[in-house]
Amino acid sequence: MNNLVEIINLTKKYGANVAVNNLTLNLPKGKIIGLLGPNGSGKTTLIKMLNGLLTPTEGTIMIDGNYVGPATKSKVAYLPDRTYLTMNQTIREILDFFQDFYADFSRERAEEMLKSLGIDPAVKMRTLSKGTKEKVQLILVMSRNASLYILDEPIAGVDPAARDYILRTIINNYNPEATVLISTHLIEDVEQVLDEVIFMRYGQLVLYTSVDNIREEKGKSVDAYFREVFAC
Amino acid sequence: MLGKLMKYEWKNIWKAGTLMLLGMFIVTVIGCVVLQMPGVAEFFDSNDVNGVQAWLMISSFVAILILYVIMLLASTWGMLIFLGIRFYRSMYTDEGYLSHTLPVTANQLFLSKVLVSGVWYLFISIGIGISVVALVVSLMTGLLNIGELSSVLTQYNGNIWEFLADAFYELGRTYEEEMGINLLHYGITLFLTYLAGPFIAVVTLFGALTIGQLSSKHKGFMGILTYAGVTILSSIIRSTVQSAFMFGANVMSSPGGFSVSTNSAYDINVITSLLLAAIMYGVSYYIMNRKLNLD
Repeated sequence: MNNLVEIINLTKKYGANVAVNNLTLNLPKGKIIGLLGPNGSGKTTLIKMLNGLLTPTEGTIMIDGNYVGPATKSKVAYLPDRTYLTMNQTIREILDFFQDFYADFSRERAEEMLKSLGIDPAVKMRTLSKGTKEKVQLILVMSRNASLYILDEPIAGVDPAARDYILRTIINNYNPEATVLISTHLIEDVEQVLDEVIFMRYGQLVLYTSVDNIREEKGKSVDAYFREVFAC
Repeated sequence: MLGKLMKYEWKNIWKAGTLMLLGMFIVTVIGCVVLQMPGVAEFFDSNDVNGVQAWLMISSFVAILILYVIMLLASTWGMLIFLGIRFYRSMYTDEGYLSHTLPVTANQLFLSKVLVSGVWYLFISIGIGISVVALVVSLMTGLLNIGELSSVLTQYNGNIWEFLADAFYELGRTYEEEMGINLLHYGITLFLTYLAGPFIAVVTLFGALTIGQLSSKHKGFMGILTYAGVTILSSIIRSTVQSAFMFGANVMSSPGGFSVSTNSAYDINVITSLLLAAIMYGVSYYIMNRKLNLD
Protein backbone atom coordinates (compact mmCIF):
# COMPACT_ATOMS: atom_id res chain seq x y z
CA MET A 1 0.00 0.00 0.00
CA ASN A 2 1.66 3.22 -1.17
CA ASN A 3 -1.10 5.58 -0.06
CA LEU A 4 -0.60 7.29 3.24
CA VAL A 5 -3.99 8.97 3.36
CA GLU A 6 -7.21 7.50 1.98
CA ILE A 7 -10.27 9.71 1.94
CA ILE A 8 -13.52 8.15 0.74
CA ASN A 9 -16.77 10.04 0.05
CA LEU A 10 -15.98 12.61 2.72
CA THR A 11 -18.69 15.17 3.43
CA LYS A 12 -18.96 17.85 6.08
CA LYS A 13 -22.14 19.87 6.47
CA TYR A 14 -22.91 22.78 8.79
CA GLY A 15 -26.68 22.81 8.64
CA ALA A 16 -27.54 23.50 5.00
CA ASN A 17 -24.00 24.65 4.20
CA VAL A 18 -21.77 21.96 2.68
CA ALA A 19 -18.11 22.66 3.51
CA VAL A 20 -16.67 19.47 2.03
CA ASN A 21 -18.75 17.63 -0.54
CA ASN A 22 -18.30 13.93 -1.25
CA LEU A 23 -14.51 14.14 -1.51
CA THR A 24 -12.52 11.07 -2.49
CA LEU A 25 -8.76 11.43 -2.48
CA ASN A 26 -5.63 9.36 -1.89
CA LEU A 27 -2.33 10.94 -0.86
CA PRO A 28 0.92 9.02 -1.44
CA LYS A 29 3.93 8.79 0.87
CA GLY A 30 7.00 10.97 0.44
CA LYS A 31 5.49 13.99 -1.31
CA ILE A 32 5.10 17.68 -0.55
CA ILE A 33 1.56 18.52 -1.55
CA GLY A 34 -0.01 21.96 -1.78
CA LEU A 35 -3.66 22.20 -0.77
CA LEU A 36 -4.87 25.22 -2.69
CA GLY A 37 -8.16 26.96 -3.13
CA PRO A 38 -9.95 30.26 -2.57
CA ASN A 39 -11.45 31.23 0.78
CA GLY A 40 -14.29 28.94 1.81
CA SER A 41 -13.18 26.14 -0.51
CA GLY A 42 -13.04 23.63 2.38
CA LYS A 43 -9.27 23.39 2.89
CA THR A 44 -9.26 24.04 6.63
CA THR A 45 -12.37 21.88 7.14
CA LEU A 46 -10.60 18.99 5.41
CA ILE A 47 -7.46 19.53 7.49
CA LYS A 48 -9.46 19.62 10.73
CA MET A 49 -11.17 16.35 9.81
CA LEU A 50 -7.78 14.76 9.08
CA ASN A 51 -6.73 15.77 12.60
CA GLY A 52 -9.90 14.64 14.34
CA LEU A 53 -10.98 18.16 15.30
CA LEU A 54 -14.13 17.91 13.22
CA THR A 55 -16.39 14.90 12.86
CA PRO A 56 -17.29 14.11 9.23
CA THR A 57 -20.98 14.09 8.37
CA GLU A 58 -20.34 11.19 5.99
CA GLY A 59 -17.40 9.26 4.63
CA THR A 60 -14.17 7.90 6.04
CA ILE A 61 -10.55 8.92 6.49
CA MET A 62 -7.71 6.47 6.96
CA ILE A 63 -4.14 7.48 7.70
CA ASP A 64 -1.50 4.80 7.40
CA GLY A 65 -4.22 2.16 7.67
CA ASN A 66 -5.93 3.59 10.75
CA TYR A 67 -9.12 5.56 11.22
CA VAL A 68 -8.56 8.98 12.76
CA GLY A 69 -7.82 8.48 16.47
CA PRO A 70 -4.91 8.16 18.91
CA ALA A 71 -2.97 5.92 16.49
CA THR A 72 -3.10 8.47 13.64
CA LYS A 73 -2.48 11.41 15.99
CA SER A 74 0.81 9.85 17.03
CA LYS A 75 1.89 9.94 13.37
CA VAL A 76 0.49 13.30 12.28
CA ALA A 77 2.29 16.55 13.07
CA TYR A 78 -0.21 19.39 12.77
CA LEU A 79 0.43 23.11 12.53
CA PRO A 80 -2.91 24.91 12.83
CA ASP A 81 -3.69 28.38 11.51
CA ARG A 82 -3.71 29.74 15.08
CA THR A 83 -1.62 29.68 18.24
CA TYR A 84 -2.60 26.58 20.19
CA LEU A 85 0.06 26.78 22.91
CA THR A 86 -0.62 27.93 26.47
CA MET A 87 0.60 31.51 26.76
CA ASN A 88 1.68 31.35 30.40
CA GLN A 89 4.08 28.46 29.77
CA THR A 90 7.76 28.82 28.97
CA ILE A 91 9.10 27.34 25.75
CA ARG A 92 11.06 24.85 27.85
CA GLU A 93 7.87 23.64 29.52
CA ILE A 94 6.28 23.23 26.09
CA LEU A 95 9.30 21.21 24.92
CA ASP A 96 8.81 18.97 27.98
CA PHE A 97 5.16 18.58 27.03
CA PHE A 98 5.92 17.56 23.43
CA GLN A 99 8.67 15.22 24.58
CA ASP A 100 6.25 13.52 26.99
CA PHE A 101 3.43 13.01 24.52
CA TYR A 102 5.08 12.47 21.14
CA ALA A 103 7.48 9.55 20.94
CA ASP A 104 8.79 10.89 17.61
CA PHE A 105 9.70 14.33 19.00
CA SER A 106 13.40 15.26 18.80
CA ARG A 107 14.19 17.71 21.59
CA GLU A 108 17.73 18.16 20.31
CA ARG A 109 16.47 19.24 16.90
CA ALA A 110 13.99 21.67 18.46
CA GLU A 111 16.65 23.19 20.73
CA GLU A 112 19.05 23.56 17.82
CA MET A 113 16.46 25.41 15.75
CA LEU A 114 15.54 27.65 18.69
CA LYS A 115 19.20 28.43 19.22
CA SER A 116 19.73 29.24 15.53
CA LEU A 117 16.92 31.79 15.81
CA GLY A 118 18.20 33.18 19.09
CA ILE A 119 15.01 32.24 20.95
CA ASP A 120 15.55 31.70 24.67
CA PRO A 121 13.69 28.57 25.87
CA ALA A 122 13.32 30.11 29.32
CA VAL A 123 10.94 32.84 28.16
CA LYS A 124 7.17 32.60 28.36
CA MET A 125 5.15 32.34 25.17
CA ARG A 126 3.17 35.48 25.96
CA THR A 127 6.34 37.60 25.80
CA LEU A 128 7.03 36.64 22.17
CA SER A 129 5.93 38.53 19.06
CA LYS A 130 3.29 36.98 16.79
CA GLY A 131 5.91 35.98 14.22
CA THR A 132 8.16 34.37 16.84
CA LYS A 133 5.22 32.44 18.30
CA GLU A 134 4.52 31.06 14.83
CA LYS A 135 8.16 30.10 14.44
CA VAL A 136 8.16 28.31 17.81
CA GLN A 137 5.06 26.35 16.78
CA LEU A 138 6.63 25.44 13.46
CA ILE A 139 9.82 24.31 15.20
CA LEU A 140 7.81 22.08 17.54
CA VAL A 141 5.90 20.53 14.66
CA MET A 142 8.92 20.05 12.39
CA SER A 143 10.94 18.52 15.24
CA ARG A 144 8.70 15.49 15.08
CA ASN A 145 9.64 12.53 12.94
CA ALA A 146 6.05 12.16 11.72
CA SER A 147 4.54 10.26 8.80
CA LEU A 148 2.31 13.14 7.82
CA TYR A 149 2.86 16.86 8.38
CA ILE A 150 -0.22 19.00 7.98
CA LEU A 151 0.56 22.70 7.83
CA ASP A 152 -2.38 25.08 7.67
CA GLU A 153 -1.33 28.49 6.31
CA PRO A 154 2.23 28.25 7.70
CA ILE A 155 3.45 31.42 5.99
CA ALA A 156 0.39 33.62 6.27
CA GLY A 157 0.86 36.83 8.23
CA VAL A 158 4.67 36.77 8.38
CA ASP A 159 7.20 38.93 6.56
CA PRO A 160 9.03 37.62 3.44
CA ALA A 161 12.23 36.91 5.37
CA ALA A 162 10.30 34.82 7.87
CA ARG A 163 8.54 33.03 5.01
CA ASP A 164 11.92 31.96 3.63
CA TYR A 165 12.96 30.73 7.05
CA ILE A 166 9.73 28.78 7.48
CA LEU A 167 9.99 27.14 4.07
CA ARG A 168 13.65 26.29 4.68
CA THR A 169 12.71 24.78 8.03
CA ILE A 170 10.04 22.63 6.40
CA ILE A 171 12.32 21.41 3.62
CA ASN A 172 15.33 20.76 5.86
CA ASN A 173 13.53 19.02 8.67
CA TYR A 174 10.75 16.84 7.38
CA ASN A 175 11.14 13.12 7.28
CA PRO A 176 11.82 12.34 3.55
CA GLU A 177 9.57 9.29 3.72
CA ALA A 178 6.75 11.39 5.07
CA THR A 179 4.13 13.44 3.28
CA VAL A 180 3.76 17.18 3.84
CA LEU A 181 0.37 18.75 3.16
CA ILE A 182 0.58 22.54 3.00
CA SER A 183 -2.51 24.69 2.80
CA THR A 184 -1.86 28.25 1.62
CA HIS A 185 -3.02 31.23 -0.39
CA LEU A 186 0.55 32.32 -1.09
CA ILE A 187 1.16 29.93 -3.96
CA GLU A 188 4.06 31.79 -5.51
CA ASP A 189 6.06 31.49 -2.29
CA VAL A 190 5.56 27.75 -1.81
CA GLU A 191 5.47 26.64 -5.42
CA GLN A 192 9.22 25.98 -5.49
CA VAL A 193 8.94 23.29 -2.81
CA LEU A 194 5.79 21.48 -3.97
CA ASP A 195 5.70 18.09 -5.72
CA GLU A 196 1.95 17.95 -6.20
CA VAL A 197 -1.05 20.25 -5.86
CA ILE A 198 -4.68 19.82 -4.93
CA PHE A 199 -7.15 22.48 -6.10
CA MET A 200 -10.39 22.70 -4.15
CA ARG A 201 -13.51 24.77 -4.73
CA TYR A 202 -16.89 24.66 -2.94
CA GLY A 203 -15.69 21.67 -0.92
CA GLN A 204 -14.98 19.61 -4.02
CA LEU A 205 -11.84 18.41 -5.70
CA VAL A 206 -11.12 20.41 -8.84
CA LEU A 207 -7.68 19.06 -9.65
CA TYR A 208 -5.04 16.79 -8.20
CA THR A 209 -1.86 16.60 -10.22
CA SER A 210 1.91 17.04 -10.07
CA VAL A 211 3.57 20.44 -10.35
CA ASP A 212 5.66 19.16 -13.25
CA ASN A 213 2.50 18.17 -15.06
CA ILE A 214 1.07 21.68 -14.80
CA ARG A 215 4.31 23.22 -16.04
CA GLU A 216 4.69 20.76 -18.94
CA GLU A 217 1.07 20.45 -20.07
CA LYS A 218 -0.18 23.94 -19.37
CA GLY A 219 3.10 25.73 -19.84
CA LYS A 220 2.40 27.81 -16.73
CA SER A 221 3.48 28.11 -13.16
CA VAL A 222 1.14 26.74 -10.49
CA ASP A 223 0.37 30.30 -9.41
CA ALA A 224 -0.56 31.37 -12.94
CA TYR A 225 -2.65 28.27 -13.52
CA PHE A 226 -4.42 28.74 -10.17
CA ARG A 227 -5.33 32.31 -11.17
CA GLU A 228 -6.71 30.99 -14.46
CA VAL A 229 -8.79 28.22 -12.89
CA PHE A 230 -10.17 30.37 -10.07
CA ALA A 231 -10.56 33.60 -12.04
CA CYS A 232 -13.53 35.62 -10.77
CA MET B 1 -0.79 8.57 28.95
CA LEU B 2 -3.43 9.18 31.63
CA GLY B 3 -0.68 9.80 34.17
CA LYS B 4 1.05 12.31 31.88
CA LEU B 5 -2.20 14.12 31.19
CA MET B 6 -2.89 14.32 34.92
CA LYS B 7 0.62 15.63 35.58
CA TYR B 8 0.15 18.55 33.18
CA GLU B 9 -3.39 19.20 34.38
CA TRP B 10 -2.07 19.38 37.94
CA LYS B 11 0.61 21.86 36.84
CA ASN B 12 -2.07 24.08 35.36
CA ILE B 13 -4.31 24.08 38.43
CA TRP B 14 -2.13 23.88 41.51
CA LYS B 15 -1.21 27.57 41.69
CA ALA B 16 -4.80 28.83 41.63
CA GLY B 17 -5.92 26.05 44.00
CA THR B 18 -3.12 26.78 46.47
CA LEU B 19 -3.92 30.50 46.38
CA MET B 20 -7.55 29.78 47.26
CA LEU B 21 -6.54 27.51 50.13
CA LEU B 22 -4.12 30.17 51.34
CA GLY B 23 -6.86 32.80 51.23
CA MET B 24 -9.13 30.49 53.19
CA PHE B 25 -6.38 29.91 55.77
CA ILE B 26 -5.78 33.65 56.23
CA VAL B 27 -9.50 34.42 56.69
CA THR B 28 -9.82 31.54 59.15
CA VAL B 29 -6.83 32.72 61.18
CA ILE B 30 -8.21 36.27 61.27
CA GLY B 31 -11.59 34.88 62.39
CA CYS B 32 -10.00 32.79 65.14
CA VAL B 33 -7.89 35.71 66.35
CA VAL B 34 -10.88 38.04 66.47
CA LEU B 35 -12.98 35.50 68.35
CA GLN B 36 -10.26 35.04 70.94
CA MET B 37 -9.48 38.70 71.42
CA PRO B 38 -9.46 39.90 75.03
CA GLY B 39 -12.86 41.22 75.96
CA VAL B 40 -14.96 39.08 73.59
CA ALA B 41 -15.92 36.53 76.22
CA GLU B 42 -16.53 39.25 78.80
CA PHE B 43 -18.76 41.09 76.36
CA PHE B 44 -20.95 38.02 75.85
CA ASP B 45 -20.94 37.35 79.57
CA SER B 46 -21.96 40.86 80.62
CA ASN B 47 -24.91 41.14 78.19
CA ASP B 48 -24.03 44.84 77.92
CA VAL B 49 -25.18 45.85 74.48
CA ASN B 50 -24.81 49.56 74.96
CA GLY B 51 -21.86 51.85 74.47
CA VAL B 52 -19.04 52.25 72.00
CA GLN B 53 -17.26 49.04 72.98
CA ALA B 54 -20.41 46.99 72.37
CA TRP B 55 -20.98 48.68 69.02
CA LEU B 56 -17.39 47.97 67.97
CA MET B 57 -17.68 44.38 69.13
CA ILE B 58 -20.91 43.74 67.23
CA SER B 59 -19.57 45.48 64.12
CA SER B 60 -16.42 43.34 64.19
CA PHE B 61 -18.47 40.20 64.56
CA VAL B 62 -20.78 41.09 61.69
CA ALA B 63 -17.82 42.06 59.50
CA ILE B 64 -16.05 38.79 60.25
CA LEU B 65 -19.23 36.84 59.60
CA ILE B 66 -19.81 38.59 56.26
CA LEU B 67 -16.16 38.13 55.27
CA TYR B 68 -16.36 34.49 56.22
CA VAL B 69 -19.54 33.81 54.24
CA ILE B 70 -18.07 35.63 51.22
CA MET B 71 -14.93 33.55 51.57
CA LEU B 72 -16.95 30.31 51.65
CA LEU B 73 -18.95 31.30 48.58
CA ALA B 74 -15.88 32.59 46.76
CA SER B 75 -13.96 29.42 47.53
CA THR B 76 -16.62 26.97 46.39
CA TRP B 77 -18.05 28.90 43.44
CA GLY B 78 -14.75 30.57 42.59
CA MET B 79 -12.97 27.24 42.33
CA LEU B 80 -15.79 25.69 40.30
CA ILE B 81 -15.82 28.68 37.93
CA PHE B 82 -12.03 28.57 37.61
CA LEU B 83 -12.13 24.83 36.85
CA GLY B 84 -14.91 25.34 34.32
CA ILE B 85 -13.03 28.12 32.52
CA ARG B 86 -9.83 26.11 32.59
CA PHE B 87 -11.62 23.05 31.16
CA TYR B 88 -13.41 25.08 28.47
CA ARG B 89 -10.26 26.91 27.42
CA SER B 90 -8.11 23.80 27.20
CA MET B 91 -10.73 21.76 25.37
CA TYR B 92 -12.86 24.02 23.22
CA THR B 93 -10.84 27.13 22.33
CA ASP B 94 -7.53 27.43 20.45
CA GLU B 95 -5.76 25.35 23.11
CA GLY B 96 -8.20 22.55 22.27
CA TYR B 97 -6.37 22.18 18.95
CA LEU B 98 -3.43 20.81 20.91
CA SER B 99 -5.47 18.82 23.47
CA HIS B 100 -7.51 17.03 20.80
CA THR B 101 -4.52 16.22 18.58
CA LEU B 102 -2.58 14.49 21.35
CA PRO B 103 -2.23 10.73 20.84
CA VAL B 104 -4.65 9.94 23.67
CA THR B 105 -8.20 8.65 23.82
CA ALA B 106 -11.15 10.93 24.53
CA ASN B 107 -11.71 8.97 27.74
CA GLN B 108 -8.15 9.62 28.97
CA LEU B 109 -8.44 13.30 28.15
CA PHE B 110 -11.76 13.79 29.95
CA LEU B 111 -10.92 11.51 32.88
CA SER B 112 -7.62 13.28 33.58
CA LYS B 113 -9.42 16.63 33.85
CA VAL B 114 -12.20 15.21 36.02
CA LEU B 115 -9.79 13.49 38.42
CA VAL B 116 -7.40 16.41 38.91
CA SER B 117 -10.15 19.05 39.08
CA GLY B 118 -12.19 16.80 41.41
CA VAL B 119 -9.21 16.38 43.76
CA TRP B 120 -8.70 20.15 43.93
CA TYR B 121 -12.39 20.75 44.53
CA LEU B 122 -12.22 18.13 47.29
CA PHE B 123 -9.26 20.00 48.83
CA ILE B 124 -11.39 23.14 48.88
CA SER B 125 -14.27 21.22 50.54
CA ILE B 126 -11.89 19.80 53.16
CA GLY B 127 -10.42 23.28 53.67
CA ILE B 128 -13.87 24.70 54.30
CA GLY B 129 -14.65 21.88 56.72
CA ILE B 130 -11.45 22.49 58.68
CA SER B 131 -12.07 26.23 58.65
CA VAL B 132 -15.60 25.86 60.07
CA VAL B 133 -14.40 23.49 62.80
CA ALA B 134 -11.53 25.88 63.67
CA LEU B 135 -13.90 28.83 64.02
CA VAL B 136 -16.46 26.86 66.06
CA VAL B 137 -13.76 25.56 68.40
CA SER B 138 -12.28 29.03 68.69
CA LEU B 139 -15.65 30.55 69.55
CA MET B 140 -16.50 27.82 72.05
CA THR B 141 -13.11 28.02 73.71
CA GLY B 142 -13.80 31.66 74.43
CA LEU B 143 -17.41 31.25 75.49
CA LEU B 144 -16.92 28.16 77.62
CA ASN B 145 -14.45 29.93 79.80
CA ILE B 146 -16.97 32.46 81.07
CA GLY B 147 -19.70 32.58 83.67
CA GLU B 148 -21.91 29.55 84.14
CA LEU B 149 -20.66 27.89 80.99
CA SER B 150 -17.18 27.54 82.48
CA SER B 151 -18.55 24.97 84.91
CA VAL B 152 -19.45 22.76 81.93
CA LEU B 153 -15.89 22.76 80.69
CA THR B 154 -14.56 22.15 84.18
CA GLN B 155 -16.13 18.69 83.99
CA TYR B 156 -13.82 18.00 81.05
CA ASN B 157 -10.72 19.48 82.72
CA GLY B 158 -10.77 22.24 80.12
CA ASN B 159 -10.47 19.76 77.22
CA ILE B 160 -12.61 21.28 74.47
CA TRP B 161 -12.19 18.24 72.15
CA GLU B 162 -13.48 15.85 74.78
CA PHE B 163 -16.43 18.15 75.31
CA LEU B 164 -17.17 18.25 71.55
CA ALA B 165 -16.89 14.47 71.27
CA ASP B 166 -19.44 14.08 74.04
CA ALA B 167 -21.70 16.72 72.53
CA PHE B 168 -21.66 14.97 69.15
CA TYR B 169 -22.23 11.61 70.81
CA GLU B 170 -25.27 13.02 72.56
CA LEU B 171 -26.52 14.53 69.33
CA GLY B 172 -26.08 11.19 67.58
CA ARG B 173 -27.88 9.35 70.34
CA THR B 174 -30.83 11.75 70.04
CA TYR B 175 -30.88 11.20 66.27
CA GLU B 176 -30.74 7.46 66.61
CA GLU B 177 -32.99 6.78 69.62
CA GLU B 178 -35.52 9.56 69.46
CA MET B 179 -35.73 10.18 65.72
CA GLY B 180 -34.93 6.63 64.58
CA ILE B 181 -32.22 7.66 62.13
CA ASN B 182 -29.54 5.03 61.53
CA LEU B 183 -26.41 6.96 62.43
CA LEU B 184 -23.94 4.54 60.81
CA HIS B 185 -25.96 4.62 57.61
CA TYR B 186 -26.13 8.41 57.82
CA GLY B 187 -22.39 8.65 58.45
CA ILE B 188 -21.51 6.45 55.49
CA THR B 189 -23.79 8.29 53.06
CA LEU B 190 -22.54 11.64 54.37
CA PHE B 191 -18.93 10.52 53.90
CA LEU B 192 -19.68 9.24 50.39
CA THR B 193 -21.46 12.47 49.50
CA TYR B 194 -18.56 14.53 50.84
CA LEU B 195 -15.97 12.42 49.01
CA ALA B 196 -17.83 11.96 45.71
CA GLY B 197 -19.53 15.37 45.72
CA PRO B 198 -16.61 17.36 44.25
CA PHE B 199 -16.12 14.80 41.46
CA ILE B 200 -19.84 14.76 40.70
CA ALA B 201 -19.82 18.57 40.59
CA VAL B 202 -16.96 18.76 38.08
CA VAL B 203 -18.32 15.94 35.88
CA THR B 204 -21.68 17.74 35.76
CA LEU B 205 -20.02 21.05 34.88
CA PHE B 206 -17.59 19.62 32.31
CA GLY B 207 -20.36 17.48 30.82
CA ALA B 208 -22.63 20.53 30.47
CA LEU B 209 -19.86 22.53 28.78
CA THR B 210 -19.28 19.62 26.42
CA ILE B 211 -23.00 19.36 25.62
CA GLY B 212 -22.90 23.10 24.81
CA GLN B 213 -20.52 22.22 21.97
CA LEU B 214 -23.42 20.65 20.10
CA SER B 215 -24.81 24.12 19.51
CA SER B 216 -23.73 25.82 16.29
CA LYS B 217 -23.37 29.28 17.93
CA HIS B 218 -22.56 30.68 21.40
CA LYS B 219 -21.22 27.32 22.54
CA GLY B 220 -19.86 28.57 25.86
CA PHE B 221 -23.13 30.27 26.76
CA MET B 222 -25.07 27.16 25.77
CA GLY B 223 -22.78 25.15 28.06
CA ILE B 224 -23.62 27.44 31.00
CA LEU B 225 -27.34 27.20 30.21
CA THR B 226 -27.03 23.42 30.03
CA TYR B 227 -25.34 23.40 33.43
CA ALA B 228 -28.15 25.44 34.95
CA GLY B 229 -30.74 23.22 33.26
CA VAL B 230 -29.11 19.96 34.36
CA THR B 231 -28.75 21.22 37.95
CA ILE B 232 -32.41 22.27 38.16
CA LEU B 233 -33.62 19.11 36.41
CA SER B 234 -31.63 16.83 38.69
CA SER B 235 -33.08 18.59 41.76
CA ILE B 236 -36.60 18.13 40.41
CA ILE B 237 -35.98 14.45 39.62
CA ARG B 238 -34.45 13.90 43.07
CA SER B 239 -37.42 15.51 44.83
CA THR B 240 -39.90 13.62 42.65
CA VAL B 241 -38.24 10.26 43.35
CA GLN B 242 -38.11 11.00 47.08
CA SER B 243 -41.76 12.07 47.14
CA ALA B 244 -42.84 9.08 45.08
CA PHE B 245 -40.99 6.79 47.46
CA MET B 246 -42.43 8.38 50.58
CA PHE B 247 -46.02 8.52 49.42
CA GLY B 248 -45.91 5.25 47.47
CA ALA B 249 -44.68 3.31 50.47
CA ASN B 250 -46.92 5.22 52.92
CA VAL B 251 -43.85 5.74 55.06
CA MET B 252 -45.19 8.83 56.77
CA SER B 253 -48.28 7.09 58.14
CA SER B 254 -46.55 3.86 59.11
CA PRO B 255 -44.75 3.38 62.46
CA GLY B 256 -41.23 4.77 62.29
CA GLY B 257 -42.11 6.36 58.97
CA PHE B 258 -40.03 9.46 59.55
CA SER B 259 -36.83 7.53 60.11
CA VAL B 260 -37.45 5.29 57.10
CA SER B 261 -38.11 8.28 54.85
CA THR B 262 -35.09 10.21 56.16
CA ASN B 263 -32.72 7.26 55.70
CA SER B 264 -34.06 6.60 52.21
CA ALA B 265 -33.74 10.29 51.33
CA TYR B 266 -29.97 10.11 51.90
CA ASP B 267 -29.76 6.98 49.72
CA ILE B 268 -31.81 8.53 46.95
CA ASN B 269 -29.64 11.64 47.05
CA VAL B 270 -26.43 9.61 46.69
CA ILE B 271 -27.83 7.30 44.01
CA THR B 272 -29.33 10.07 41.85
CA SER B 273 -26.12 12.13 42.10
CA LEU B 274 -23.98 9.17 41.03
CA LEU B 275 -26.44 8.37 38.26
CA LEU B 276 -26.32 11.98 37.02
CA ALA B 277 -22.52 11.93 37.02
CA ALA B 278 -22.47 8.63 35.09
CA ILE B 279 -24.90 10.02 32.48
CA MET B 280 -22.92 13.26 32.07
CA TYR B 281 -19.67 11.31 31.74
CA GLY B 282 -21.20 8.99 29.12
CA VAL B 283 -22.68 11.87 27.13
CA SER B 284 -19.35 13.76 27.20
CA TYR B 285 -17.47 10.68 26.03
CA TYR B 286 -19.95 10.21 23.17
CA ILE B 287 -19.73 13.86 22.07
CA MET B 288 -15.92 13.95 22.20
CA ASN B 289 -15.73 10.72 20.19
CA ARG B 290 -18.54 11.18 17.69
CA LYS B 291 -19.65 14.79 17.62
CA LEU B 292 -16.54 16.90 18.18
CA ASN B 293 -16.58 20.07 16.07
CA LEU B 294 -14.01 22.66 17.11
CA ASP B 295 -14.57 26.12 15.66
